[in-house]
Amino acid sequence: MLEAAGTALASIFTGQHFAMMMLGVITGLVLGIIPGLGGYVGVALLLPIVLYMDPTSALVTILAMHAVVTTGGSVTAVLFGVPGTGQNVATVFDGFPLNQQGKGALATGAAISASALGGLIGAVVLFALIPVVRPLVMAFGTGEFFLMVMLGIACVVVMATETPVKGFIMAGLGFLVSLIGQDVATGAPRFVFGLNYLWDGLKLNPVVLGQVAISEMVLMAAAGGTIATAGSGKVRLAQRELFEGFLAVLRHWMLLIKSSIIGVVVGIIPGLGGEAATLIAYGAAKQGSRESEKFGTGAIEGVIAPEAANNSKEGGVLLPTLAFGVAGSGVMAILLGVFIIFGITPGKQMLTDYLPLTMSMAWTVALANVFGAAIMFMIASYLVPLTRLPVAILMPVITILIMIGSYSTYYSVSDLVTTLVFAAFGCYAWKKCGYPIAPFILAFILGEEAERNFRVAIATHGPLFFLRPISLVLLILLVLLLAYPILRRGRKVSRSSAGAKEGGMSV
Amino acid sequence: MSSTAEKRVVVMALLGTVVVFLLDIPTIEVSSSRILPLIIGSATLVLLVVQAIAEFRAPLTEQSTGTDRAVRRISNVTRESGVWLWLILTVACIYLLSFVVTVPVSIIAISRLYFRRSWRESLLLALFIWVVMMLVFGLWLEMPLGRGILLNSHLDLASMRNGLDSRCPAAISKVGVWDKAIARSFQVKCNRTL
Repeated sequence: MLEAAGTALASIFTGQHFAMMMLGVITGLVLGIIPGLGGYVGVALLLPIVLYMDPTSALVTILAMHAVVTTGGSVTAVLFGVPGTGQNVATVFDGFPLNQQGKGALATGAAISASALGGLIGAVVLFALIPVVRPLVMAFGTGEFFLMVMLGIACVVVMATETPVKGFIMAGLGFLVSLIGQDVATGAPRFVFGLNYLWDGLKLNPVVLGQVAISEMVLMAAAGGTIATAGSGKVRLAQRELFEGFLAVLRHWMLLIKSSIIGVVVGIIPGLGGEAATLIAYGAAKQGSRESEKFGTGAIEGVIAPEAANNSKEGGVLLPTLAFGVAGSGVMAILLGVFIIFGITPGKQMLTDYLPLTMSMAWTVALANVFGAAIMFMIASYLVPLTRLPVAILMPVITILIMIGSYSTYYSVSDLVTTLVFAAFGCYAWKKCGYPIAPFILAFILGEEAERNFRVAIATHGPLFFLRPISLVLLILLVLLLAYPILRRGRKVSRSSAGAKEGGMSV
Repeated sequence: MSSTAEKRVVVMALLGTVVVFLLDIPTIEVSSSRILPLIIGSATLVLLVVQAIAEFRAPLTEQSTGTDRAVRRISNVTRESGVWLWLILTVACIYLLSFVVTVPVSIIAISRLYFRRSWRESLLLALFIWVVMMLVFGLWLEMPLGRGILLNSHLDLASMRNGLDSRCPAAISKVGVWDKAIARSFQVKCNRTL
């Protein structure tokens, strides 16, 4: 195995493979920076090129691009409050407030470093788990997947939000919105209200970009001034602060490892996706922090956690794809298609005949993250001063880019209307009235898949599917998690009454 | 954070949304497709009612605010309304006249009328965004940016370059970048095999 890893590393550094990896890295970073464009567009751009190459070059190019897309997106999430990809949403929550306080370079440095180190950890875990992952993935059936989704949503609501009632309301709304369109099992249209556009359901890009980015643009335009209200905005100072961001990540090394592991685990479970990994990691970071009240107002941990999970999950996603041919994400499904085009069958063969190729892919994930971070460090110091430009210049530019990003999925103007509807929702429900957005997005992303698994579980195991051993464990965890806010509240009340008796401040 | 009155409006709007969803459930033709929407919708409705009661029990904060703050709030609402109006008009124009025509006009409009920038700055900004849009999205990513319901712009670079318009305009307009690339890739593969 070590010999194969060494051969694969040497192979990556040969002329063509290295050049193609860098092409993938640069394409991924550029697409990550442009809102709404992500891995799919990258694959679309690269696929016609890579099909002329040998399998290693082709897979290295696509994987390198995919590994760094979110690194590019994290920079715009921090500096402009616009998530470059859906997976950068959680980075906006604390990265953008930090930028508004004049700590944009620090947050950007932390985001890039956490992405790179998270990606490296993901690759290491990929190396380590390749031989032992099979029982883990095979243990998860449809019922377990449904309960896992519920657990993920409950985690985000309980851990990341101050008011669980509002969190569960938003999760419920996200779930309902995810059910819009044709039912995957029966084909029956639901909540389409006579509109043909809704038959296919709502897409992620318009919903997320509207809620998070356009709503921010509206408030920004109304407030005027500049995005960053403090800090110097000079390139040299930005470079120093970027390095401080890197040091901040090293100081929070435990959080980095914890978030990366969350990313890998969520990545291994097919269908949960990157957005879930980042939001769960964010929730866990908030819950574990001594200064959890700072989250949402500019806590550096709130940047490190989602970014580490974001890139580390790529290692996890690759595992089921390579080991069983079970695609963990959309881009991985396309990667499977590329395997088949080249006559490679994922499965046991990947760990025997094609082990060097498998190792090349693991190395690509690791190296692409390092090179991607290095390039972003060089570019970011020049992007930071842009946040000192007047909103009058930035807002129209960013808004038009967001609109094109929303339009880019299906070239439908209806997607722009959806963007505006969700922008109003994000602006007034989330930003003005404190309804947390994270549970909505998570439920929206996972809702359809959760329902599919719920119905298959009922059909195959009956209504008591949750009594299977792993399901039962997940169910107990879910109940404990739901009971946690009540216990926490009870503890706070008892502490405050004790404090009052002693004449101290109530907590 | 907003006033109690705004919170009440928002909670009622959310409540209304969930009620609309719940009222639509009986129209779903297949009974098994109704189960999860009904469970989730009912639970959300109950939580929203709890939240609404809490919001309506809270005292109105606006009554205690001074005139300055009220004036500031009205001015803020007016400014936000201006942005919303611009966004709605921009989307309507994209629908009618395409991105190619709308983007420069829309940028000049917000820059001049809303932000009160000079003509020179507004024109330069519009030109910059237009050029970036055409190069990155039109030429590189081959997006059909020149399609409006009233005006099909001749500046649709993707179509000009590929000559796809003349063959099957209706189909091509619905095909995404991804689909086109896949189709092209498989064609390449087939050609190589043959």
